[in-house]
Amino acid sequence: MTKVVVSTAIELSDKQRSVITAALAAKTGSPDIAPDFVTDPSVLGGIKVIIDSQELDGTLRARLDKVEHQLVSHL
Amino acid sequence: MEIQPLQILFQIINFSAVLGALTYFLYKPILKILEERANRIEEGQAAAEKALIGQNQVEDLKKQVKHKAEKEAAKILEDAQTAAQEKRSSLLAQAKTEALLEVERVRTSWNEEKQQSMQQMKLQFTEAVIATSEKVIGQSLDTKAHSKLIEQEFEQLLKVA
Repeated sequence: MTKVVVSTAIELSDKQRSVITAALAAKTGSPDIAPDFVTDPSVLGGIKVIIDSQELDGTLRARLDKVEHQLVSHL
Repeated sequence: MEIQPLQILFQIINFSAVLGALTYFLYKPILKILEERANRIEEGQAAAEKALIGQNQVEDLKKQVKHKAEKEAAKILEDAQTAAQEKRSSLLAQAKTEALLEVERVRTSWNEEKQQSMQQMKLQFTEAVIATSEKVIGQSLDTKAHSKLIEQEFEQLLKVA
Protein backbone atom coordinates (compact mmCIF):
# COMPACT_ATOMS: atom_id res chain seq x y z
CA MET A 1 0.00 0.00 0.00
CA THR A 2 1.25 3.45 -0.90
CA LYS A 3 2.29 5.50 2.15
CA VAL A 4 1.44 9.18 1.89
CA VAL A 5 2.21 11.98 4.36
CA VAL A 6 0.77 15.48 3.90
CA SER A 7 2.33 18.30 5.97
CA THR A 8 0.83 21.78 6.38
CA ALA A 9 1.36 24.70 8.78
CA ILE A 10 -2.28 24.74 9.88
CA GLU A 11 -4.71 21.94 10.48
CA LEU A 12 -6.73 21.15 7.35
CA SER A 13 -10.48 20.99 7.32
CA ASP A 14 -12.24 17.75 6.47
CA LYS A 15 -13.22 19.17 3.12
CA GLN A 16 -9.64 20.09 2.33
CA ARG A 17 -8.50 16.62 3.41
CA SER A 18 -11.10 14.99 1.15
CA VAL A 19 -10.10 17.07 -1.85
CA ILE A 20 -6.42 16.35 -1.31
CA THR A 21 -7.03 12.62 -0.76
CA ALA A 22 -9.11 12.37 -3.92
CA ALA A 23 -6.53 14.21 -5.96
CA LEU A 24 -3.72 12.04 -4.67
CA ALA A 25 -5.72 8.89 -5.31
CA ALA A 26 -6.28 9.94 -8.88
CA LYS A 27 -2.63 10.91 -9.29
CA THR A 28 -1.18 7.71 -7.84
CA GLY A 29 -3.88 5.42 -9.25
CA SER A 30 -4.59 4.03 -5.76
CA PRO A 31 -8.27 4.57 -4.81
CA ASP A 32 -7.79 3.30 -1.24
CA ILE A 33 -5.04 5.74 -0.43
CA ALA A 34 -5.11 7.07 3.17
CA PRO A 35 -2.75 10.00 3.69
CA ASP A 36 -1.42 10.93 7.12
CA PHE A 37 -2.17 14.64 7.64
CA VAL A 38 0.48 16.29 9.81
CA THR A 39 0.34 19.82 11.19
CA ASP A 40 3.86 21.26 11.22
CA PRO A 41 4.17 25.05 11.87
CA SER A 42 7.81 24.94 10.83
CA VAL A 43 6.78 24.66 7.16
CA LEU A 44 5.42 28.21 7.56
CA GLY A 45 2.89 27.85 4.76
CA GLY A 46 1.94 25.83 1.71
CA ILE A 47 1.95 22.05 1.57
CA LYS A 48 4.41 19.16 1.46
CA VAL A 49 3.44 15.72 0.19
CA ILE A 50 5.59 12.60 0.62
CA ILE A 51 4.51 9.62 -1.49
CA ASP A 52 6.66 6.65 -0.46
CA SER A 53 10.16 7.99 -1.17
CA GLN A 54 9.04 10.83 -3.43
CA GLU A 55 8.82 14.26 -1.79
CA LEU A 56 6.80 17.10 -3.30
CA ASP A 57 7.59 20.24 -1.33
CA GLY A 58 5.50 23.35 -1.95
CA THR A 59 6.05 24.97 1.45
CA LEU A 60 7.29 28.47 2.21
CA ARG A 61 9.94 26.81 4.32
CA ALA A 62 11.31 25.10 1.19
CA ARG A 63 11.30 28.38 -0.72
CA LEU A 64 13.07 30.20 2.08
CA ASP A 65 15.61 27.37 2.30
CA LYS A 66 16.18 27.68 -1.42
CA VAL A 67 16.65 31.45 -1.18
CA GLU A 68 18.99 31.02 1.79
CA HIS A 69 20.97 28.38 -0.06
CA GLN A 70 21.35 30.65 -3.10
CA LEU A 71 22.43 33.59 -0.95
CA VAL A 72 24.95 31.53 0.97
CA SER A 73 26.34 29.91 -2.16
CA HIS A 74 27.06 33.36 -3.61
CA LEU A 75 29.06 34.51 -0.58
CA MET B 1 195.20 65.76 21.26
CA GLU B 2 196.30 62.34 20.08
CA ILE B 3 194.10 59.98 18.21
CA GLN B 4 194.12 56.57 19.68
CA PRO B 5 192.86 54.09 17.14
CA LEU B 6 192.50 51.34 19.64
CA GLN B 7 190.23 53.47 21.77
CA ILE B 8 188.20 54.44 18.73
CA LEU B 9 187.88 50.83 17.78
CA PHE B 10 186.87 50.01 21.29
CA GLN B 11 184.33 52.84 21.24
CA ILE B 12 182.97 51.56 17.94
CA ILE B 13 182.70 48.03 19.25
CA ASN B 14 181.11 49.33 22.45
CA PHE B 15 178.65 51.53 20.57
CA SER B 16 177.82 48.65 18.24
CA ALA B 17 177.25 46.39 21.18
CA VAL B 18 174.99 48.92 22.87
CA LEU B 19 173.20 49.57 19.59
CA GLY B 20 172.76 45.85 19.02
CA ALA B 21 171.52 45.31 22.54
CA LEU B 22 169.13 48.23 22.29
CA THR B 23 167.91 47.02 18.95
CA TYR B 24 167.41 43.51 20.19
CA PHE B 25 166.02 44.19 23.63
CA LEU B 26 164.17 47.46 23.14
CA TYR B 27 163.53 48.48 19.57
CA LYS B 28 162.24 45.19 18.28
CA PRO B 29 159.85 44.48 21.22
CA ILE B 30 158.53 48.01 21.03
CA LEU B 31 158.13 47.68 17.29
CA LYS B 32 156.40 44.37 17.81
CA ILE B 33 154.09 45.87 20.42
CA LEU B 34 153.29 48.75 18.10
CA GLU B 35 152.55 46.36 15.27
CA GLU B 36 150.31 44.26 17.48
CA ARG B 37 148.51 47.36 18.66
CA ALA B 38 148.09 48.53 15.09
CA ASN B 39 146.77 45.12 14.18
CA ARG B 40 144.31 45.17 17.09
CA ILE B 41 143.13 48.63 16.08
CA GLU B 42 142.68 47.49 12.52
CA GLU B 43 140.82 44.43 13.69
CA GLY B 44 138.68 46.58 15.95
CA GLN B 45 137.93 48.93 13.11
CA ALA B 46 137.11 46.02 10.84
CA ALA B 47 134.88 44.50 13.49
CA ALA B 48 133.22 47.86 14.06
CA GLU B 49 132.70 48.31 10.36
CA LYS B 50 131.38 44.79 10.11
CA ALA B 51 129.08 45.40 13.07
CA LEU B 52 127.95 48.64 11.50
CA ILE B 53 127.23 46.88 8.22
CA GLY B 54 125.41 44.14 10.15
CA GLN B 55 123.43 46.75 12.02
CA ASN B 56 122.53 48.47 8.77
CA GLN B 57 121.52 45.14 7.31
CA VAL B 58 119.42 44.45 10.39
CA GLU B 59 117.84 47.89 10.08
CA ASP B 60 117.13 47.25 6.41
CA LEU B 61 115.69 43.86 7.26
CA LYS B 62 113.57 45.37 10.01
CA LYS B 63 112.31 47.99 7.57
CA GLN B 64 111.53 45.32 5.01
CA VAL B 65 109.75 43.17 7.59
CA LYS B 66 107.85 46.19 8.88
CA HIS B 67 106.91 47.24 5.36
CA LYS B 68 105.82 43.73 4.52
CA ALA B 69 103.82 43.48 7.75
CA GLU B 70 102.19 46.84 7.08
CA LYS B 71 101.37 45.74 3.54
CA GLU B 72 99.89 42.47 4.77
CA ALA B 73 97.98 44.29 7.50
CA ALA B 74 96.59 46.71 4.91
CA LYS B 75 95.64 43.79 2.69
CA ILE B 76 93.96 41.99 5.61
CA LEU B 77 92.14 45.20 6.56
CA GLU B 78 91.02 45.74 2.98
CA ASP B 79 89.86 42.13 2.69
CA ALA B 80 88.03 42.42 6.00
CA GLN B 81 86.37 45.65 4.88
CA THR B 82 85.37 44.08 1.58
CA ALA B 83 84.02 40.99 3.34
CA ALA B 84 82.18 43.16 5.86
CA GLN B 85 80.67 45.22 3.04
CA GLU B 86 79.58 42.08 1.21
CA LYS B 87 78.16 40.63 4.42
CA ARG B 88 76.37 43.91 5.13
CA SER B 89 74.89 43.96 1.64
CA SER B 90 73.88 40.33 1.95
CA LEU B 91 72.26 40.89 5.34
CA LEU B 92 70.47 43.98 4.08
CA ALA B 93 69.16 42.11 1.07
CA GLN B 94 68.08 39.21 3.25
CA ALA B 95 66.40 41.52 5.75
CA LYS B 96 64.65 43.34 2.92
CA THR B 97 63.43 40.07 1.43
CA GLU B 98 62.23 38.84 4.82
CA ALA B 99 60.51 42.15 5.49
CA LEU B 100 58.75 42.01 2.13
CA LEU B 101 57.69 38.43 2.79
CA GLU B 102 56.42 39.41 6.24
CA VAL B 103 54.49 42.34 4.78
CA GLU B 104 53.02 40.06 2.14
CA ARG B 105 52.15 37.45 4.77
CA VAL B 106 50.48 40.04 6.99
CA ARG B 107 48.65 41.49 4.00
CA THR B 108 47.45 38.05 2.91
CA SER B 109 46.42 37.19 6.45
CA TRP B 110 44.62 40.51 6.78
CA ASN B 111 42.83 39.97 3.46
CA GLU B 112 41.82 36.46 4.48
CA GLU B 113 40.53 37.72 7.83
CA LYS B 114 38.71 40.54 6.05
CA GLN B 115 37.18 38.11 3.59
CA GLN B 116 36.17 35.76 6.39
CA SER B 117 34.64 38.66 8.30
CA MET B 118 32.76 39.81 5.21
CA GLN B 119 31.54 36.27 4.56
CA GLN B 120 30.52 35.91 8.19
CA MET B 121 28.68 39.21 8.01
CA LYS B 122 26.88 38.17 4.83
CA LEU B 123 25.97 34.84 6.38
CA GLN B 124 24.65 36.56 9.48
CA PHE B 125 22.75 38.99 7.28
CA THR B 126 21.23 36.10 5.31
CA GLU B 127 20.24 34.33 8.50
CA ALA B 128 18.71 37.54 9.78
CA VAL B 129 16.78 38.01 6.54
CA ILE B 130 15.48 34.45 6.67
CA ALA B 131 14.55 34.72 10.34
CA THR B 132 12.77 38.01 9.72
CA SER B 133 10.96 36.52 6.73
CA GLU B 134 9.79 33.61 8.87
CA LYS B 135 8.41 35.99 11.49
CA VAL B 136 6.73 38.19 8.91
CA ILE B 137 5.19 35.19 7.15
CA GLY B 138 4.04 33.67 10.43
CA GLN B 139 2.38 36.91 11.49
CA SER B 140 0.89 37.91 8.14
CA LEU B 141 -0.79 34.66 7.07
CA ASP B 142 -4.26 34.03 8.48
CA THR B 143 -6.21 30.81 8.05
CA LYS B 144 -7.78 31.97 4.83
CA ALA B 145 -4.45 32.91 3.31
CA HIS B 146 -2.98 29.62 4.48
CA SER B 147 -5.79 27.67 2.86
CA LYS B 148 -5.44 29.56 -0.40
CA LEU B 149 -1.69 29.03 -0.42
CA ILE B 150 -2.14 25.32 0.29
CA GLU B 151 -4.56 24.97 -2.60
CA GLN B 152 -2.28 26.81 -5.02
CA GLU B 153 0.79 24.88 -4.02
CA PHE B 154 -1.05 21.56 -4.11
CA GLU B 155 -2.20 22.26 -7.65
CA GLN B 156 1.36 23.08 -8.65
CA LEU B 157 2.65 19.90 -7.02
CA LEU B 158 0.14 17.78 -8.90
CA LYS B 159 1.24 19.37 -12.16
CA VAL B 160 4.89 18.76 -11.46
CA ALA B 161 4.51 15.23 -10.06
